[in-house]
Amino acid sequence: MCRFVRSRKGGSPVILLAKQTRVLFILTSLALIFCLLGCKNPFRTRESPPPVRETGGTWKTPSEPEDVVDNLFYAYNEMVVANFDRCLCDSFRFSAPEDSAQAVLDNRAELFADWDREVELRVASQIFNLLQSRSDSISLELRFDPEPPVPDEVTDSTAVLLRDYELVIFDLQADPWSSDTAEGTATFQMRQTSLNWWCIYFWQDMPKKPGDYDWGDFKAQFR
Amino acid sequence: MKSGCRILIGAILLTLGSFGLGWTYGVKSDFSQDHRTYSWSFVFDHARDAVPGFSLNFLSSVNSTITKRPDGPDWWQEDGRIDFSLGHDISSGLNLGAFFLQDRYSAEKIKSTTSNAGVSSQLRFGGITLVQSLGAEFIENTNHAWPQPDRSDQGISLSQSVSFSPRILSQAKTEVSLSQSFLQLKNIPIQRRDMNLLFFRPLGVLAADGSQDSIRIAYQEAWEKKRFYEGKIQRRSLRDFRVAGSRRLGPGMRLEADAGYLYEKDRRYWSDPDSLYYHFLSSALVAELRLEKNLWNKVVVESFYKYMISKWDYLGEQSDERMEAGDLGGGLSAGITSADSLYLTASVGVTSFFAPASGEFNDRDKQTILLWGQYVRLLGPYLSMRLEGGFNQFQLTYMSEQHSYDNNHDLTYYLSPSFTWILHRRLTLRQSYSVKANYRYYDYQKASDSGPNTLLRRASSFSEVAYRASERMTFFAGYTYRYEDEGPLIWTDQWVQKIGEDRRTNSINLSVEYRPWGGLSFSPNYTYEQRKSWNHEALEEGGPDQATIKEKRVLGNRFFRKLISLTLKYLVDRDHYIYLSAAHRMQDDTMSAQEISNYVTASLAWVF
Repeated sequence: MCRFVRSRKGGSPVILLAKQTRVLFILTSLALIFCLLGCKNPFRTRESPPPVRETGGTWKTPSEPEDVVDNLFYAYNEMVVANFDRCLCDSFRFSAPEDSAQAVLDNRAELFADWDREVELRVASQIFNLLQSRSDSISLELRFDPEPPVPDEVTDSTAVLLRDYELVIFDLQADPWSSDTAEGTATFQMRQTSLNWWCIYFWQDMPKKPGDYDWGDFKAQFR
Repeated sequence: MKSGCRILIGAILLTLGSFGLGWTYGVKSDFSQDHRTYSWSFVFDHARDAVPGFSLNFLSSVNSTITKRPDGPDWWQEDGRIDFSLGHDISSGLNLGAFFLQDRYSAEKIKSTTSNAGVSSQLRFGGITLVQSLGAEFIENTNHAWPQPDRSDQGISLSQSVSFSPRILSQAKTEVSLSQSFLQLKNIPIQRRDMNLLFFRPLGVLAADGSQDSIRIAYQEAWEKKRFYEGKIQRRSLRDFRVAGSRRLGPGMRLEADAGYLYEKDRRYWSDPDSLYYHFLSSALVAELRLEKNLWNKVVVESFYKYMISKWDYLGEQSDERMEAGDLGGGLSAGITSADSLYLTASVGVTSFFAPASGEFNDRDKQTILLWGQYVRLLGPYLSMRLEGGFNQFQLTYMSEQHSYDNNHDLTYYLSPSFTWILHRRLTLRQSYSVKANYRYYDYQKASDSGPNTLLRRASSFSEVAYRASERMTFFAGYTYRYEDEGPLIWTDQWVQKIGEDRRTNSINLSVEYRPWGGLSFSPNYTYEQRKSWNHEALEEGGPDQATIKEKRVLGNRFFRKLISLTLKYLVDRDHYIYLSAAHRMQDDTMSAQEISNYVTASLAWVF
């Protein structure tokens, strides 16, 4: 049984219902037009050109935690954002405690706050896009010390790997070339996914010396 | 640590002091350990409304983290908050109060304390609520880790907010709120303005299933200007518009539409707006249509299409990027008979990334296909079956010829039947099986057998017996067997797997659940696990003329683990619980040294 609500001015309930329906119809149509105008075909990807080189980004199936560090190393140096993406767990978090503390002092506490997988990927993508588009003026090289500062802790489902790193950013337009070096220790906490592959769920960055320029400082410039 | 201790001691003294006064207070404490990181948190919440017209609120919280570093000093980090407020109703529409708020943050030799104390008023008249506060703010920042200019400041804080609910249409709910705040500090002044509008109106009459047509419109606008110590100025603004509607299209059928637009702007410059050194615009449009149909009150079918476009614009910078995504999907849930039910979901979507300024360097499409289904059948009053299966596919396609060599596919298939059989009112058997296969292959890397193309297969069986000795005590005994193999995929005229390694795992689990009374439970648990891995090696046999390649299986690694754990839980409800857990783990394998670990987790929450 339908009940119509009368307006305070006492308009016809039939007219009121018709108005409501019309409003809703217009709004629904607008939403539909939005969808159809920008409709993205979920079944098709774009055409991809054949590769110009016979080697791709370096990628090892991460069946050991060490493979993830290698994959991250190659993804950064070869600037392959998708390979970098596959190094990170869905629950990924990045933390740079000293940089964060300094950001709080500088009244910029939000700079390192809520740094999750989405932020990390956007930052990496911007770094790689910028470096690629300005490859004649700027370049980057990541180096890991082959001797870890402490032995790796690897259990059957979790692992903690510490790596001393150097991230060198070259200014190729300076004569002679100049460079900035970010130095520190990266702590990678990893876990095994349901397919046995390893991924990083927590990345902590500390500078080599208090106050030094580190990876976190470099990445924060792109956030 | 000292600041944390002070907050903690203050909270405890206040707790003790308030015993017997009829005040309500709650405590929540947690401790956890994750490798070298130890974390503590303590929250004390205190409120009193016992005297009519008078209110007192006190909240203090401390979070401490210590990270042990074997090659250097431990890293200690702590943050804490004290929030104290008093309020008194002068009349039915006017409340006057005072407040004190302090935030502390310390990380080794870096320390930051922000304190704010002042008075507040809340005035209510004709459906309008006006809240104002005036306070003094003190910021004390020190960094003894390395030389740095002074980072302290002080000044006045002022905030005003007004909210009201005008009655525009009958049955409609409208909310409007406006607020602004000023922090007049010498070095780092901050100004903020916010506006929120919300309109909701049910349309038509309530349907028989309890749903109703409705429309909801929300708009938010925020603006902020702040200065940093070095003289830089940042202006940020945000606009967020959302509209959602729900409409019944016929018996059992409903259409829901949701659309939103988010716009953010961030500009940074040196004192003069012309000296702009950073300009960032981001915008996102989201639209979703969802159609739901209920058939014969037994089957619910739903479908959706979701479209999203995001843009990160640095005004011509090479790092500009755009993302566009479309997802189409649906689901079905059906109670076929009183003994059968079926659930199915499926979705397919493509997310495209565009970075034209970088020469399509990281342009890529990611396609996701997800299928999942579950069938549950009661085979009798004491026997039930559940069958779950699914398929996931992720395809990555690069637009750049520099990267298209890495175009790849990742496919996973899985199937898991399980049975529960109640043999006796005290005895229950559970049996489940699971098979899973993951294929990962690259479009342009088929030729090499040492390439990244891989296959992982897994099969497992789990059996459990649960014996309820009494209403308070239940024994569990479980056994798991798991087989896995993995290796490269090699392309001939089709994909063929070459097994590189296989693993077999046997695991036994024994546990008891004892509930002496109420919400108290006590659960000891013992687990023994053994895993062996074999490498598959190719061996050449026979003479040089008749050499044959044979595969040999060589034992690679043996892994053992013993885990003993003890859990004590006292759960009354969400606000009242105690949880204690301790575990001792010993594991050993042929690849590394024996490892012994102890874990302790403790949580307490209680509202008095």
